[in-house]
Amino acid sequence: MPKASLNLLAFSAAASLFSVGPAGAATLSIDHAWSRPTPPGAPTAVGYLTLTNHGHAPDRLMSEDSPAAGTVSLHQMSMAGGIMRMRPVTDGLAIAPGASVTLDPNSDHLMFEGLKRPFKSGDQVPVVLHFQHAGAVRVMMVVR
Amino acid sequence: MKDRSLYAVVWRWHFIAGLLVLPILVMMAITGSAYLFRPELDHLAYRSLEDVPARTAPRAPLSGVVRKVESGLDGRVIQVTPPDRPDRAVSLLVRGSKGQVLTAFADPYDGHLIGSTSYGGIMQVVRKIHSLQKFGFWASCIIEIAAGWAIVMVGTGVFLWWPRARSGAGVVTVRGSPSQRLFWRDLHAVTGLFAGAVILFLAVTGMPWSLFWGAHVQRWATAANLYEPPPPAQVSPEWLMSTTMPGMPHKPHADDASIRPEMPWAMEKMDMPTSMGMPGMAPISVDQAAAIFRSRGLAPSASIALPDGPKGAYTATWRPDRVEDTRVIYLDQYSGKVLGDVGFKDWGPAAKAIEWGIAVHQGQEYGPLNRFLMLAGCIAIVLLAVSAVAMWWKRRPKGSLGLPPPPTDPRAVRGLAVVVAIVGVIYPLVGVTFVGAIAMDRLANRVRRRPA
Repeated sequence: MPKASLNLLAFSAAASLFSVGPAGAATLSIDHAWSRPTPPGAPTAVGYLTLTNHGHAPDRLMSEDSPAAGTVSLHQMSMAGGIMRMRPVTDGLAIAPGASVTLDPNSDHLMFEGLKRPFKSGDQVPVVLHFQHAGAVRVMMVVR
Repeated sequence: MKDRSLYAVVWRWHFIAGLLVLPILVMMAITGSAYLFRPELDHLAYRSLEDVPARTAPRAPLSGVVRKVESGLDGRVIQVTPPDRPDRAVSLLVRGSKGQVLTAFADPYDGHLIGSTSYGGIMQVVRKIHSLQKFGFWASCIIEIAAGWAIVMVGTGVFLWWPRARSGAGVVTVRGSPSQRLFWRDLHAVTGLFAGAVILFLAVTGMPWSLFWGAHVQRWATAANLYEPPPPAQVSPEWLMSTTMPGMPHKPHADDASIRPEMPWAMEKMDMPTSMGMPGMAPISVDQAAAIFRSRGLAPSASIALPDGPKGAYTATWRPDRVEDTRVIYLDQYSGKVLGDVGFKDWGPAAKAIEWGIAVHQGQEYGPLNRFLMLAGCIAIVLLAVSAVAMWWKRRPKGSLGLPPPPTDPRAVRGLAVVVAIVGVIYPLVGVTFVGAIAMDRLANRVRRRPA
């Protein structure tokens, strides 16, 4: 049963990005959304993507959620004096006009906790990103 | 006359040995002092990663901690060490997607990744400088040579100190003032007398880490501990078979010498037991493995190395300060069966002696007294170097090194040669440099005598 529901969610894989919120989403693009497969029984998974602000005003990624996990949060990495620290972002992630922010294995990432089922290679996992101005944007994350 | 000649040759060689190794010994003394206080200095440097607010809440399952850290760092956890107090983080070794190994810290209550440092952090760098391993294989051979020459310096130093027809002054007390050479000579002799034993001990017990002598002895001592006395009953037949049958794949712990889960020296070169998985069998979780380790009386803060591949085993390592309490347990990753339960009592006599030496060398075996005695040895080395340079400076000749003159009586050399030969045979790499140094000295003498 959970398998069927995830296949349904994966149905719209071809259109990897579409807005479920109000107008304004066109000023933002979300590319290269991907994740790693998880071992059986794993409670968490990770997500990476690139956010680009094509508009003329700053925007801010405020929160994230996904039907595939209990909670999704943004974890930000900082380096100082040979010490890497990882912290959950609480006040959102700013994206300046014309700028790109990349979440990748060497920097920040989305953390999925309370997985409904393991991520398998080739799966498409939906994530909804909530922006301050652009509103809710849904994106399909490719597991590879 | 004969005694004076012997005195001259010993002095000469004490001087030459000092020239060659003092800078290295001072470096080792400084890095060694720092390493004696590794836990304290680690905490000073990485408080922000190691400290967590203590809670009464139950701890997160280790599997959850491992998974969160793997997600956060995009890597594979090699080893996980639960904290031994409620206000400290879980410590983990993680191999990143590019192969680099990190030390990571996670909250024991909710399992979230706090952050990471390079493998072992700053103290690992100190350790690598102490052994010169940071600068490659040949550099670390220099350490072995320096330790060998340090033994010669202690031996020749005691000979030079030996009271001859003199009263107690300059034997156990220091005469003169810092402006006089006598003061520095006495300071050197008296410090050397009290510290000689510690320095000798540090040199001898430091040798097992060296890349030439140490590596060979390690292979031999490891073999001795596995085959004679007969393997302990706790070792499963499968493991015994895999380590004794020719042609079986060998997988020692220290296949990557620079990075490894914490293993006792005596077991680094030992072959790992292998897990016997049937197709379709699922491995047990790290939580189940941890429960089995605890049920065998292992402390909850023992390090657990995760199986390396489908043949690997769960390996719990307990290395407290006292070497006698060291214990390593292996579990089949599928059945949870104990493949081996090996501790200090199971090692051969050589491995036991060397491991004891390592524990004392690191200042762990006998509590604070042990640590401060080793620190005193380090301080003495620095003091010896400073006083040596000062006493030479006070009487430096113009236009030459001020090397004591070569002996005229060849018989005088023989006494020294015996000491040097013993050290040279035990430590062949050191012996080679002795031969080299003596040949150079002879050659220099011949060149000097020819015009006369």
